[in-house]
Amino acid sequence: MSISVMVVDDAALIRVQLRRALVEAGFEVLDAVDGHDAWAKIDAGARPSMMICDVNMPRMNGLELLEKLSSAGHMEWLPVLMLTTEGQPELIQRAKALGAKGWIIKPFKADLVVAAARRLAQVGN
Amino acid sequence: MRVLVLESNVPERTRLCQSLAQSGHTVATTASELGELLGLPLAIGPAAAATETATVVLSLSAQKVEIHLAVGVDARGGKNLCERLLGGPAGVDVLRDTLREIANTLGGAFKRAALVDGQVFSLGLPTSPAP
Repeated sequence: MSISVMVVDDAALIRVQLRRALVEAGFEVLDAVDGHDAWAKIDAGARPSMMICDVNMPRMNGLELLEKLSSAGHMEWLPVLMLTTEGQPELIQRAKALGAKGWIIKPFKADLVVAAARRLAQVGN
Repeated sequence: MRVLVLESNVPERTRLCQSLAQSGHTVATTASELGELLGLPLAIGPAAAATETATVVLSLSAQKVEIHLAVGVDARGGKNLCERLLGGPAGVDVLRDTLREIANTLGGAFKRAALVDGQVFSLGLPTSPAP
């Protein structure tokens, strides 16, 4: 069974780049255009092996999504890697407290994200 | 591709301005690194020839400071950017989305650099000019 990753980012560029790198590495990829979309998909039953999530997004940002996932108990099975331009220690601490497993700052190298995804998906499973 | 500071209401000669100048250097460095990652030159400069732009606003609300940081491309640069990043020609909406993400990345670099001096900017969502 292939490992699936949900990529949550409002930028199509990032979704395309991550999809390309992750599919090449053997992952299945599920897209979400913001936190609201990601939450709707998880709430409807999507069960990715892990999530890569931006912070600054319209409608529902990445930290708000983490709060919803955490409140609903989804963080117990879903490893989340934050991928963002933000580097404010308070935001990183807040994400960590909500259960995020990692924080990568953009611009990113695709191989680094793939390596982190591989590690987290294994941990999650 | 060009990166430019469109507007800033920080008075020159203030301490904040000096501090932000350092952040500006970091943005230049990040722009250069991002250009390498993108495989395209990314330079700081005027946007006279830019046909498409995206802007991100950084603000220090307590000091009523706003900095508008923009990224722009001319028609040829936009075509090269889409081919490099997306593998082929793309519509104007995709190009604008791409520029917004690049502006967002550079805005984040500016914000992180300013943190070193204790300035905690709010980073807005990047925008494209209304068509």
